[in-house]
Amino acid sequence: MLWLLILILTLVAGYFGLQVKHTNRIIRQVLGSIKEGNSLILEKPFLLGDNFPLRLCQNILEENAEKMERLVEESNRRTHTFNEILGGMLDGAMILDGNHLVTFSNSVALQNFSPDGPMKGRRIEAFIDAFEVLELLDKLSRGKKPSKAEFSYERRGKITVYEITCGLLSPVRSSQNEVYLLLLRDITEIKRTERLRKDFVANASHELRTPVTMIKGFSETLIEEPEISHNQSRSFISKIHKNALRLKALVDDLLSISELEGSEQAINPTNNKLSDVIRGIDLYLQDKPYVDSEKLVFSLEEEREAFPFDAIKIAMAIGNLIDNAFKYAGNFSAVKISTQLSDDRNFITCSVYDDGNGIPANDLDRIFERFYVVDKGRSREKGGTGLGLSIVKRIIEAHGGNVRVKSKLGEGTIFSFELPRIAKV
Amino acid sequence: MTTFFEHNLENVKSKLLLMGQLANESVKGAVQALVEGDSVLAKAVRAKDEEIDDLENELSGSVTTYLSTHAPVAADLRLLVATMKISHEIERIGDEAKAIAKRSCKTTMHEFHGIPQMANIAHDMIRDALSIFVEFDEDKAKSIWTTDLEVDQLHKDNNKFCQTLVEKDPTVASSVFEVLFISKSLERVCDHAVNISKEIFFMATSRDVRHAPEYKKAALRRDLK
Repeated sequence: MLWLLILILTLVAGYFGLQVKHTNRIIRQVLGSIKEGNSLILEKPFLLGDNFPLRLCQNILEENAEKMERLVEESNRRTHTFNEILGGMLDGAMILDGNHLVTFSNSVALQNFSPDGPMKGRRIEAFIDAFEVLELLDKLSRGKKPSKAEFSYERRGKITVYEITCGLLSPVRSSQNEVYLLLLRDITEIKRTERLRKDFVANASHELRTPVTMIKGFSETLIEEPEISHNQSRSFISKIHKNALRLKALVDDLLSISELEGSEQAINPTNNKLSDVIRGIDLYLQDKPYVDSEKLVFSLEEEREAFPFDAIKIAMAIGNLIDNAFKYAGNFSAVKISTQLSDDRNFITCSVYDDGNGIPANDLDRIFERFYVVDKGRSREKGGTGLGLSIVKRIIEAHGGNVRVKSKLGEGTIFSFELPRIAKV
Repeated sequence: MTTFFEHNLENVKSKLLLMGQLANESVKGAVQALVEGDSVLAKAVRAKDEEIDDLENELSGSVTTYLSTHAPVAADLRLLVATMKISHEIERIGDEAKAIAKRSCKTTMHEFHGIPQMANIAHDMIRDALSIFVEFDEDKAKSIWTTDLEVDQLHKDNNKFCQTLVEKDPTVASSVFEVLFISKSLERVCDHAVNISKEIFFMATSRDVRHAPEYKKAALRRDLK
């Protein structure tokens, strides 16, 4: 009897013992799934009915896990969009916390300011130390309005100008410090063209004013002084004429330039042979009496097929090069104009060579700039405008070619350009 | 998460860096005003000095408040003490820039010998000194000290150059003296940059190198040879 009682007690104890163990495991599972945010997968019920309260727990957890998953997905999507927007921008973007520590930077900012390592968690001053930027941030931290600044940034000898726009982002929690959004735009090219335009306007008005003042002065004298001698008035009139011609040359050149810069349609390609155009170059040199056609030497490669280019503009370019040689080369025996087809016949190279004085090496880089002249006095005396070579450059570039110059003092100068024979214009 | 205290310390750092860059810009502007004979720029540089002075006052105010209310120790204390000293050095740089700007209007000389080069070196030295304040780099700090020797040599060359000018034509003496003083100012600016970098060295490593014999000029010169 006693044995039977002991047996029954053992069985009952064993049953409860197992149940406690199982409950323990389930609690661990529940805790685990709460921590991980997963849905709860209960093991098959162990000697327990479906009405066990853990079922309820399971349902709630599953619901929560689903909600969590949706939230995570939503937040991932938002982060992704945010990163895509900032990352896809052409401007550099950075986010700083109130301590000037970078908390986010897009790929452009990373590439421009810290190509060797990450920016996150480091101070902005480690990358950008321009006082303009620090001043801007200082102003913002004092509660002034977000604004813009420009600064130049030097890396490996290359100077880039940036425009920085700084905005204040409101913090997520009010207890946190402010967050700054910096946008950095490369405006080097804009600055450069702005300066070129300013220079151009200043130069053009200066160049135009000189002949106008002369004409005004001499004509006023002629009008107001009735007792002027015949010889003197002749000399005044010839000076007025000379300046009028100069004015015309300037205006013509300026018009050519503005036409070439103004639109894509400035070039009207027609099928022609370059050698034919060069042989007819005399036509374009008619109004230049100092050009001695005896001194022109042609060495032209015959082309079998015509190709599309703007004959008038190209003739103007070659005419300008020849004109320059006669104006500035000084003592030369001949101006040689040659053409040569490339081996694959895709390009034709034209060069204008003179064996005159040559151009000083440090002027070579700048002679294609508008209004740049090597010797101001001589250029004016010869009626040069300083625009000839920049017109040549424009014409050739509009055809898809480029102009080069080689020169040695005392030995001569060679200008050459190539034109693609496959139409690209 | 950043605490309020941390924010305060970082704020002090930001202010100091701004002050440093402003002073550096002033030096650059002052020498540019001299070389280009730009009196408007010289005036602007002189006005900028006030801004630097204001920042110094502001900085010393926040540092004193922090010291008295938080009683910082170790690295924080070193940072604050160094900040005080560096801000003073920067203020001195600002003063030198102001002096250069003032003298640039008085001289009629057009030849400045080594001064533009000195100014470039000084600009880089101050920049390097401030950059090691942001992120410490021992090698960079030491390179500042050796660069200073170069500046000393340039100053000596300027000295000789000015001497020959005066010997040739004593009437230009007053103009030449201005240039000589400018050269001296730039040399002082570089010394301040060295002092700043030594303070930062102490702040970052807690090794005092300010009067250490191995980093004295003579020793550095010997090492270079």
